[in-house]
Amino acid sequence: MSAKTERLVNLTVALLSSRRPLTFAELRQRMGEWDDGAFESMRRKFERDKDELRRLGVPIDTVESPDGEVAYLIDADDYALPDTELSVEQMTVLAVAFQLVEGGVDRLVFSRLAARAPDPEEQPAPSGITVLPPAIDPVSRLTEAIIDRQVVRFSHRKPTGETTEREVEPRALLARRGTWYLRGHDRTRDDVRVFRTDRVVGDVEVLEETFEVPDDADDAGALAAMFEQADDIDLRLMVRTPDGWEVEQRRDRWFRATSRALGAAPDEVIIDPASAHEAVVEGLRGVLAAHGEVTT
Amino acid sequence: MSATDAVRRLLVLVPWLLERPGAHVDEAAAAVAVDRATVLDDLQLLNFCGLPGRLGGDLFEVELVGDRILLHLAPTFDRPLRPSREEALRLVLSLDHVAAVLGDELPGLDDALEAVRQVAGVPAGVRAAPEPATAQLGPLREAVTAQERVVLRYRGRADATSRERVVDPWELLLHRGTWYLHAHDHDADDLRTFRLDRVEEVTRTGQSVAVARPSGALPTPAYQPGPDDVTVELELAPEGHWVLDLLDGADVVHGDEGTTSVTVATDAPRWIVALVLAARGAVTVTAPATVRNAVVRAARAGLEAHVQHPPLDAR
Repeated sequence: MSAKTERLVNLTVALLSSRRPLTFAELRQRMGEWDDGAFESMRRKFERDKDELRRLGVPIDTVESPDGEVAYLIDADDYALPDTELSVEQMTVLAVAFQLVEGGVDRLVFSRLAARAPDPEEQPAPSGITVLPPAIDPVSRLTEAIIDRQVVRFSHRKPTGETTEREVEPRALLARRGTWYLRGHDRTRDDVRVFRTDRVVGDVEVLEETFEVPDDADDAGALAAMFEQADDIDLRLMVRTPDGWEVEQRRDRWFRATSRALGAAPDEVIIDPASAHEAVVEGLRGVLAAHGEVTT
Repeated sequence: MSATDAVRRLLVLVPWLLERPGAHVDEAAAAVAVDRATVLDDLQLLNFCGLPGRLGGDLFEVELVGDRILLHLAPTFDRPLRPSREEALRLVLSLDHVAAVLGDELPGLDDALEAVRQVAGVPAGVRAAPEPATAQLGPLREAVTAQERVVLRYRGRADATSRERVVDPWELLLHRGTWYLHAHDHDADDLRTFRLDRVEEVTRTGQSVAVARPSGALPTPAYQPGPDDVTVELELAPEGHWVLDLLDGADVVHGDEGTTSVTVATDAPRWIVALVLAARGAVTVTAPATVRNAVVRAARAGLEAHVQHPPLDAR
């Protein structure tokens, strides 16, 4: 194991410190590794080492050497995390916040950020709370496309089950209650649209083509605003309790309030406003009709 | 401990040590989240790393003076490995959650997070917005911290009305943007997970918890299929398709003419009944008869209750 650790670190050092791409033969000679067996089997061992480093996130590029051979290099800028200008106070608050999410996020990722930043001060974390991150997989490629301003193409399932092909300029993503929402310019419809990513069927294809974002676009703000509708109606309800019917007051939004009263039937009745009362009655009649029951 | 883990640590440890000459072994161990013995092993390995003699001199040299570490010469290796896009996203979005929830308690977190976003390469347009904390979060946090028993007025997914639950609160968890409480439920004499948006009231008791939180991670809230599950078959008209977004793990068959058949297993048939009622006729239960009858009964009784309690301005 230690020999392998050493080999992997040395391969990283060799490729990082070289000014030009190195071939397998050169690496083998320089490092004195992969040379205690048949060439082909040693070459396969080298391939495994290289792939393992790539899985760790080490950006090993493959290029063609002047002699037409396969050669490898690591671009130092791709490899290294840029320095932050974080202050002691900022590192302290980040370290405290990180303790709350540590169950779901790799500690070493935070350590990389902290490696060249000032040490945080000791400060106890707020207790009793754990925060788990939202799922990243659905949006990893979309995030890349947003950063690189590349057009994406995907099939999107309508709620009715019908699928449509979309070509979208992706501009913002928001996770809300475990669901990701993408906002972007839909080229198919020539309009700005919002898509739930869990309705994307199959893979997202990232095209070479790039796009411009209008200067005045605030897509992140617009997405957030979708979920910040204020409660706008005052309701009075009769609610069945073990001690009989009681009056309750509530402030809510129209659709949510009537849906909730429907779901709670027969234990809740909206008595004000009358229009909401009627909407619930209408809904209950609809339910009975759909189930083949006759209402009077 | 695999060789790969050691490599991951060393790629952080080297820049960390170069930035902090004479760092204490224990601090170095904490920085890479391992024990002292492991970090000493790592450092030992590092002594053998570098490009051996043939290139001349590019060796690492680790010097241990008491508990203090001095690392010499690691050219081109003085900066940490950049996190992958997934790692950066996971970190930033998790911290987003914390900022949204505890921004008031952690002043400056928003600004610090912006700086992290920039170096980690996560664009400003990619964000996570958790559910806003309910009024119950504050008292529950105090109770968790004080290890104090509480009484919850709780309306579970399967409950028609709320009821009181005596619980020893263990941990508040923000999972996929929704708040949960892990607690020992005294009636069930077992761990129960409560959704905070279903907690109607919290009463503190002043009593200490009787059952302490077990060590280790508590289970992530998720629907677990059980032996008492009921399999329900639904038919959805086009305007009822929104319920699909609420039915995890459902089998969906899209038919002709916009109708869709759904089969879903549930431990809470009452919740399915509520969903069907809220769909206002756009969702029909086709099986089993018990659930179908429960829908019809609730709708009929609901209509009667509406006759019994007319709107205020019609009285």
